Amino acid sequence: MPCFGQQSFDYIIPVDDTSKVLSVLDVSVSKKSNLAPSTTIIDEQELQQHSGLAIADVLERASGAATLRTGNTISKPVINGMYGNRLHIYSQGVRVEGQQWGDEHAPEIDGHISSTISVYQGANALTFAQDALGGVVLMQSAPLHQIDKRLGGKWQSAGFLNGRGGSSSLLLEGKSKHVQGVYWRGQGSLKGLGDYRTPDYYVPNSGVREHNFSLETGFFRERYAVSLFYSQYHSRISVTPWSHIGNLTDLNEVLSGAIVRSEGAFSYHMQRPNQQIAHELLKIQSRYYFKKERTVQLTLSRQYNLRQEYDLHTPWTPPADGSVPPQVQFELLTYSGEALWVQLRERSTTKIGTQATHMGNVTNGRFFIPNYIRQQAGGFVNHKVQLNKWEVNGTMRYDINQLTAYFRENDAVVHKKNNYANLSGAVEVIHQQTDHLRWFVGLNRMWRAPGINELHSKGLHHGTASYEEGSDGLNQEIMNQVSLGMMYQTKKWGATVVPFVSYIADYIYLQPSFIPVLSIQGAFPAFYYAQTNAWYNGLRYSVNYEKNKLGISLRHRGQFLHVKDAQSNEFIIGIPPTSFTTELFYHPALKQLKERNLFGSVNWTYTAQQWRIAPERDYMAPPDAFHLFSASVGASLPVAKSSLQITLGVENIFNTTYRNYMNRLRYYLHEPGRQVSIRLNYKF
Amino acid sequence: MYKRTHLFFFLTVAVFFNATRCKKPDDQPFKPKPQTDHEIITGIKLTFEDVNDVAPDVVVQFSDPDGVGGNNPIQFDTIRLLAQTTYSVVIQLYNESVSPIKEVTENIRNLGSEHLFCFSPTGVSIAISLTDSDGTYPIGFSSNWVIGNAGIGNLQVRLKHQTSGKDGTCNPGSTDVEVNFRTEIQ
Repeated sequence: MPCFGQQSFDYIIPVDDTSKVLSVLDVSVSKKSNLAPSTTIIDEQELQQHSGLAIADVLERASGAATLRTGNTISKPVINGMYGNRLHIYSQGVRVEGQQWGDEHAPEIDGHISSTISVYQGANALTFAQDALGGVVLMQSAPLHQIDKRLGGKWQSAGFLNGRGGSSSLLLEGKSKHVQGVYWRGQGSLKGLGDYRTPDYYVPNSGVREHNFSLETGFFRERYAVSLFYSQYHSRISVTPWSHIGNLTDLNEVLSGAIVRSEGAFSYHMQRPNQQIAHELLKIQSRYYFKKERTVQLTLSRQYNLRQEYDLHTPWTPPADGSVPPQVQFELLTYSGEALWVQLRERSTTKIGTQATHMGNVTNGRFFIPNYIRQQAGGFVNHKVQLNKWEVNGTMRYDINQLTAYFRENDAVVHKKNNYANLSGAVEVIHQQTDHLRWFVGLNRMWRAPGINELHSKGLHHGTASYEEGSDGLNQEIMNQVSLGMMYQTKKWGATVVPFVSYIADYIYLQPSFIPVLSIQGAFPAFYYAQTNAWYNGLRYSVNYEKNKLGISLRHRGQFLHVKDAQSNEFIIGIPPTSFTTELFYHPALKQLKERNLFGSVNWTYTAQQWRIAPERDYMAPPDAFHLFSASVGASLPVAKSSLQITLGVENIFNTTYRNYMNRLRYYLHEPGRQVSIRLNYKF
Repeated sequence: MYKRTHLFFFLTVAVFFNATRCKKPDDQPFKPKPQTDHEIITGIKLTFEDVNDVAPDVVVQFSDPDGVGGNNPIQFDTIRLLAQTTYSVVIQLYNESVSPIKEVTENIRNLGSEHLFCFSPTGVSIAISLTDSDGTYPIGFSSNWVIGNAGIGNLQVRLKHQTSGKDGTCNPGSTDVEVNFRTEIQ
């Protein structure tokens, strides 16, 4: 039966008992019983139900997750109210290194490659990095060595009425006939959407194009394995000219309602402004299995990220060769390596690892961040023990981080260095009190070095008509967190409650200045990166009810965040509002229909108005609360020995007009109206 | 067996560095290049000439060479004009972030069908008519100012960038220049 929702405890995760080592190294095969509330997994079936969507939109189904948007085409995942520099995304076990600091920079990942998405917090997150205060998002494809066919594959297509486009992905995989232990996989995808429509108007220049591919091969023997992964991601994202404003006078004209928007017409045409992004990943990984369940794994990777931003206006004097250069371009080249040592014992697991990264950025065109080199290195020890009804998972790590930024002053090149180093640690304890009831306590201490934008950015944000400047004397921020969990599970009922309290010392944020910046473009409100202490507190919960005989299940989840500046006692802006989601599934338990995998579902989401704000920090009052309804039906049809799964979905059924607090373009735009989609999935 | 392991990892590393020995994007990637022409406007100059050649010429400037942020504008003049006089006004625009300073008036004039100057006086009586044209609509690089009675107020000069939909009004487009000059009519 299809797995819905994101509740971590009732997930059926494929467990390969014959390779316990792998279950430690590959998240996608981790054991159900290992899951603490600090871990959430979205599985393959759920991913299929949402193919064609951006990663952040799929991840939104996870507990504690939200999305930060710029219009409808750019989305970034948010976990517990944290994103960007505080949330890391790993694809194929490698941290995706793009220009994460930008709110309008979406992660450079093709969602079609992954078969599971997991979110880690606490002790497990610390085995990846010390600075993922919000968590670590892992996107993984199924392990290569689990391929059991000479030639198999998966075809996924999605069509969308709003935007009049869709996506299609083809994945082929197999194992060698001639050489035992050789596996391969190749995948490619295309995506294209035109302008989308809100209930009342089309949003001009809001389309997107994407083309991606990946190739993977591996050689697996009894004692060792080596695998090679290569992928390219290319996207072109249009940004609506409505959000391009020159200064505060322009913004006030929009907010006053003086500018009347006509309904407009649909177009596939992609104009300026737009962003063009390319991302390349090369990874090589090898493992050696020693006797006595000891394993060593070495991973090396190279990533190249190119981001080009084209403004609304073409340059006044284009180069003689007729090319049109972007107004700003970032090139980021990253090398990283990781060595892991894993020891399995009957009741415990020890992991020792070290990671190092070297990256360099080159900016061309309009200045916003300087050229820089960042070098970081760290090591950790993780130990997990299971004792009768108790389970303890702890991680300690130490990291060093150095950032060198290069500036041109007059005709000389000067550089500024920032060094950071610190210890971090996390402990989680799970107690199985009765067959139905489990308790969880987690303690975390993590730290984060300031990002390049926090230290050295300087420039205008066009979408928000504000001036932003970094300050190079920032300290590292340090988070101390306590989270609790109660998990109750019977055959019919399930409930999880996870409250958490975090105190972040030297929390880095944008502090408004009372003196506006005066320029020839007018006066701009100015914001400077500063530090304070902050409370990041919240609660997430879920309740499930299942009646197998009738094939009915009901799932409800909610999240609540309370984030305050501990010094000024003001709320911190840009935190997701309280929301509740209720889903009803019907999966007829009739024998005749079993093969057909028939199902229907209805989803109701309520998002409250964000009243926890600092009023003078925003141009517009937070948008009103809204209700959204969606529904889907699906069935499987037998096609050539396999089955074709068809899912029809409708989102925003009642074509509700609303604005979203978590959309940076909320001043200019309403959210999309009704969306009708069809998805086809065929595994062969 | 350990020998084999060592050899194995060594090979992995070797293959990796061989595979990644690609051409670097730049010879010296982290040495920033000299700032190129960013195509920004940092300065505006208004030259006033009495059409009857009686009143003296007036030159008014706003100049912020390092652009938005950084240092404050180095020059921000007050407009001082004589009452009951008609001036013909010429506007020049500069990019002072480059050396030597570049006048960008012609660059903008060439894109005249996408630009429009808008003037709004407050507290002073000035009637402004644009006297140039992009072929269809005025641009505003040259204009005639009919000055009324003495007074002290403010004059806003705005250059709107109207990539599409220029209709002779100030509504479309986004703002490239917006300066509020203190204005004194004597």
